[in-house]
Amino acid sequence: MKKIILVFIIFLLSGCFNYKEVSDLAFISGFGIDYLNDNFHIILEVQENDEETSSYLLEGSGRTIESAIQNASLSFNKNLYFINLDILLISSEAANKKLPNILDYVTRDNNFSFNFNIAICDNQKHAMENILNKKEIFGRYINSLFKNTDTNVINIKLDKLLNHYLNDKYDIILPVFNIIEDNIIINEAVIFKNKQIIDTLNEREMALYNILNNNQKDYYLTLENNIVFRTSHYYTTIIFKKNTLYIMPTLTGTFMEFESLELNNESKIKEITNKVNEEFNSELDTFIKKIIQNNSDPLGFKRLTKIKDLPNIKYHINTKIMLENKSLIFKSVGDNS
Amino acid sequence: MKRITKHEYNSVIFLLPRPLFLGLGIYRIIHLSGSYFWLSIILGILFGLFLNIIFKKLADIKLIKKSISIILLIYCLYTLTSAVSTLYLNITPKIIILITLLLMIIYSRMKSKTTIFKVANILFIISIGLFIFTLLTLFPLIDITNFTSENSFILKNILIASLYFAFLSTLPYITLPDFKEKYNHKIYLLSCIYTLLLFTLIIGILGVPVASIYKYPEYIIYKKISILNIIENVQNILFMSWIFESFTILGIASNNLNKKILLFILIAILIIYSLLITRINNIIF
Amino acid sequence: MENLKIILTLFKDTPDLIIRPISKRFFDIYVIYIETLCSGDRVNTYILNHLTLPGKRNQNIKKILTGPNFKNIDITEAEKYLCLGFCLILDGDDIYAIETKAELDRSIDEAKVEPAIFGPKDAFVENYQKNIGLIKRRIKSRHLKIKEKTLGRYSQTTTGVIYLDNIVKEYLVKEILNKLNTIDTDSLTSSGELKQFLVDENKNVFPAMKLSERPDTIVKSLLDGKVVILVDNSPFAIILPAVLADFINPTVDSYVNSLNTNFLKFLRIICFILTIVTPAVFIALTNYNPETIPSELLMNIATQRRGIPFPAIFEAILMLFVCELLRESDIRFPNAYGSAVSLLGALIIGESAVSSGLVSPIMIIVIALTFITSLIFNEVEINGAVRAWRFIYLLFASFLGLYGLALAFIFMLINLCSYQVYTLSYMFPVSPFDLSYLKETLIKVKRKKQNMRSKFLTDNIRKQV
Repeated sequence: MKKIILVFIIFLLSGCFNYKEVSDLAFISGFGIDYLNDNFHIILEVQENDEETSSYLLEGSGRTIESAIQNASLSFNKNLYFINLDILLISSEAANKKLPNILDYVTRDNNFSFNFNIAICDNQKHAMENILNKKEIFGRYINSLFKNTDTNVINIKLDKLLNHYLNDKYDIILPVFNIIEDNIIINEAVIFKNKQIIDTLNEREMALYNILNNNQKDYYLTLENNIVFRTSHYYTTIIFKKNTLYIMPTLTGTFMEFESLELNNESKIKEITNKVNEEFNSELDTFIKKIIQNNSDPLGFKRLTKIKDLPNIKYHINTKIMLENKSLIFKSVGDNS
Repeated sequence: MKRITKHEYNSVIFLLPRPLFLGLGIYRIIHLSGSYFWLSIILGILFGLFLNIIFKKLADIKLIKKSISIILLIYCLYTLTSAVSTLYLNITPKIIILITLLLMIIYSRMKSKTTIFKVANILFIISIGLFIFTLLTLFPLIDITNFTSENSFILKNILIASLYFAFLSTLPYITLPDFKEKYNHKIYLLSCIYTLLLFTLIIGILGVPVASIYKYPEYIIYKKISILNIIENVQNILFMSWIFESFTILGIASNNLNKKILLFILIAILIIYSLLITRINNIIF
Repeated sequence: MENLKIILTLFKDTPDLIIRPISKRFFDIYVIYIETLCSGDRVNTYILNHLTLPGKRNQNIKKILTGPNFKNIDITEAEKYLCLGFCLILDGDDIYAIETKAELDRSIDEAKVEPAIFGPKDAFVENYQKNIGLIKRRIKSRHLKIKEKTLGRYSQTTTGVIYLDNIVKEYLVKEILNKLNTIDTDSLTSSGELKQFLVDENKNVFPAMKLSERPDTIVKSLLDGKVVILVDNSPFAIILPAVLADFINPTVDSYVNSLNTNFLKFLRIICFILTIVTPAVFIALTNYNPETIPSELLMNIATQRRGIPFPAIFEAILMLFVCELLRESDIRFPNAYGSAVSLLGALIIGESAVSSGLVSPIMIIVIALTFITSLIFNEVEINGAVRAWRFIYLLFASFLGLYGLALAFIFMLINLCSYQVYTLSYMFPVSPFDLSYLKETLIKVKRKKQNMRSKFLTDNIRKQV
């Protein structure tokens, strides 16, 4: 009996230090970091479950990230809880100067998970307020935006970013949020190297990057007479053999829109697929020339080829286009023959 | 049932090589051998088989058994409390975690010597189940580009890593009773293959540079499990298999000691630990 | 004559002692019996009819009287035989005893505590002889042995130790008989009391013996190599030794297809784990590690817990207490008033506790899940053990979170694995791993593969004559 009392007393002494009431937690779904005048300015989006307000915004500033967060939480009555974080926004200033500090803070704490997206956005408060006015939660909105496979956004999460950052053989690529007419559009991506932004990619180039990296998103290609070829899935292999880099993408897809074409005719199909092939080759060629000339390496060419200066590299593109199914109709609707 | 059956003994042989890797072990091996970890592990397995044959003879000598039991007890208590303190309860003072663990060890020593083997039999089933779950969910996330050689091949480091592996996986076997008669090398090989799979998961998912900055990479890979976006962040539940394995080794090491000597050692650990906290300001590990 | 006087002084104030003198040529024969214990019909047919016929009075009593159980006894045993329901005949210095017991028990009825849908429905009654008859109907072999003892100074209850002598291990029977020899008590009214003498109570909350009222369960366990103890005036028989797998697994399963029963067995094992662990897991997850719960559910739990003043552990203890009260009242209350009480209970738990701000709805769901899964076990002792362990898990988890849950699990495993019932470990088919007993309890395989007995329970492992 005495033993049981002793054990019980020891348990009571444990003090419940790590006890957190669920109703005392503030769930944070968006986190934005800016760096101006040697101070970090952060903005946090706190989720609420009321019907009127879906979330709050908190702001704070300080010399370090931790002091900025403490500053921000002064005005709010709950403990900040970062595990359900959906999006981390970094301004380009902060990315240029303080990216290692940010990554260190986010990796060291056990209360951050790996599942949040990272993006670059310069006007963070404006972006968050836009979405809040639509009565939606910013983090969830961005999460579903990234998951939408119709658009060609580059989705990068923390563990991949950390892998590429610590590994000298890759350059980091991050999507950029632009605000056009009160809407958030992700139509650019930047490539980092040695804490400098060296290159930006536009939409078509982001799509080509996705193809080369096997992220299965949609890609469409328009020919002259309004024939649109859209891929359903693709696969790329990149090999380095005999001092040249062989890039071999294989695209399978369907024709989505065309005028005056009969798909029953085998020769005509071959003609069209050859045209698509040429067009795609030229696009990919210009893209690869661009990134090689800027010495930027988001795809890891340096790791494969072990060449330090990219502009000296020789490459050869060999695409293959396959028509998967011919869709619902044979003849085009606008065809009169 | 005063004798230990074959199944129970085999499950203990399966569980013992792993808990000494908690914390310091995995980090050191990845740091030393990099992406050539498979080579150092295979060398380590061969060396470990050889070491087991030596330990079979050493296990008869009572003095060595008792001294290694004491060393393993102190080391495992230390690594387990640091692991639980950083991963589960980070604000709770470590001494409370230590006290509750000591109470459990004293309780298991009060029962007969065959109890810990029966407990290990059941814990073996549970940890195999948890491991199969992690394998099935984490295998698709392996990235093959993480395995290609990025660092240069330094022979000395790889040999040191394999020695490290061999010692950490075979040292607990000295504390087993009847080791000479009942040792089964196939079960040891299976257990080392388990550890090898764990290492491939760690390096395949995280990559060598990321895995070498974390203190507990075996905990970090559990953070990446995500099934249908509903079952996420289950790392705390799956990490319990390491707690069970560490407890097995603590239980078996304490079996070899007299009850009064064990009580004396544990109270000494408590007193020394509480004195050290007030004196030393920097964290040792 | 002296015998008569002795008997009259021994049974001084018993108005139901009947003495009927029958005159013979030179002296009287006395027929003595206790009216409440004997049946008048049998006294008549066995004794009085024959003794009162003319021409037979003078013959030797032994030759005239009928009656299956006829003994020649001493005056010292007169009290015992009178109280057993025998009829004594005093013939000079001889005393004869003839059995004329009345049937003071109920007829064989359906099993109330362990019902079966497809299976024999007869159950034990309070009569010792009838119970043994029910067993012997099912095992028609000469190997079925019974050793009888009378226990209790005033109650003199017959208890029988039943076993199959070519299957059971001998030391088990010897130990049980030794233990029964040391029992010294006033009365032994039921087999539940006998349980407390056979096993030391302080070792563990889990029960070491199974009580059963169905003869088919008893027969199966006898054939496995276990020992059964029957106590007079008690419809429950004790099966020794019992391990944890026996309680999770009723024998009704052997009447149904094996694929169906495997699913149900799996369900029962999961229910056993859930009923102990659920409140602890809920408290550990919501208070120490909320990241494991999906975020939408977590937001809902946060809004539900906003107005509640108590921490989660108090809510859990309060709801468990209320549920135990309801269960106890359900057992004890007579059926006539039943519906009003259950309505009151449902109202208390369902609507009012939530809307008055005492308990949050999610806690009610957790406790309801705990309770429904505990209804699978109909043994009272298992329910008590599970209740104790549920509380211990709750304590550990609320102080130390998931680490406390791991510690409590190890604690329970050490406690269960170190418990031994007559040298058989309590986690028997799992921990000293035994495939043949596992096939009978925790999984079910085809009939063809079930042809060996377990070697830990018996030496005769091949199932053959």
